[in-house]
Amino acid sequence: MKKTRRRYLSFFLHSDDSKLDDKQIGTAIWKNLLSLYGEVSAADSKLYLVEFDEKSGAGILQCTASSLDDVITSAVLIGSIGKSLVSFEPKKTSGTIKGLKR
Amino acid sequence: MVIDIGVCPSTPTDLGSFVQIARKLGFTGIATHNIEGEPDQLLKNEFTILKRSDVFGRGLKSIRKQVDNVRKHSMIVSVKLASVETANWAAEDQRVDLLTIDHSQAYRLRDSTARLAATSDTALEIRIEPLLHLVGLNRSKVIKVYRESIRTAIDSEMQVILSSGALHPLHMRSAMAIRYLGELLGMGLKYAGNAINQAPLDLVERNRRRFSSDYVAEGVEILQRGTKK
Repeated sequence: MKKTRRRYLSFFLHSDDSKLDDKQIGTAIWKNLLSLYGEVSAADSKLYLVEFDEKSGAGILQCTASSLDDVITSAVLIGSIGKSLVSFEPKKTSGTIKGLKR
Repeated sequence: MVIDIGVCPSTPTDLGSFVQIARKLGFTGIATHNIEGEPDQLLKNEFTILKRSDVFGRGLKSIRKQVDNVRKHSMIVSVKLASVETANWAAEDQRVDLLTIDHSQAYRLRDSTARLAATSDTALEIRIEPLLHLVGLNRSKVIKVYRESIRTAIDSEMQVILSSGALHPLHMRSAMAIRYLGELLGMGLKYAGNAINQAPLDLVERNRRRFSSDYVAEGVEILQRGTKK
């Protein structure tokens, strides 16, 4: 089986509530991806939240290279998580985590 | 310099939090209807606030009168797409900068309106705010209207401009984020980048020239004033 190419995305989540955790954010992006592009695309994206700092709002997402644009679009379209309003800001994409932090 | 030309705070006191978020997201200016004073205001921290007017009404007479009143006091004048008659008039009138799609109405941009707008440099404004709070079928309907209108505008060489349409500071998105939403709405990534970065800036620069005391009409400017004898 051919290995799929991965992409990493660093992002910043602006929010009016600092209690949001990585699980809530991962689920919100997944749900929006599912709603916008469908079950097959969501499954193929191999979306995974690598890290998220609740205090600063900075985080890193992992997905397949082919689904990167769909994942970013889905994340940007999230208006609120639970009762708190959020603004997802994509920062940088790279093939490696090391590349993101460079 | 990146300007979000469609920010809608409910009160002028909210403007501070919009400016704060806009700066965090990398914008150097915003245009809003909810400010008093000059059409072009520069804050201490090199941030620009522009005055815009959103014109809407049922009849052509009412819209024409409103445009007459607001043009001299606003950096950006926008007319909401409502009927064919008003849309065609606004598209042809050089005082109108933007035609804004109202997502709550089923009206979409017509070919004839887009062609008229292309000849008079009137741009189509797409606001992303409705896409943030709608889900499922309702969001799909808005995406359909936006995609069809953008396709019509691009085919007729009418400029498309993307703005946040934010009612709350956290409805704002960075230029990079809006570029991806432009791609969702059927634009190429390069065109979408231009629709949020360069096109709003060109519009503002054009209107700044018009507001200068040396401007007479389109293509006519005073280069040097004579001395009194």
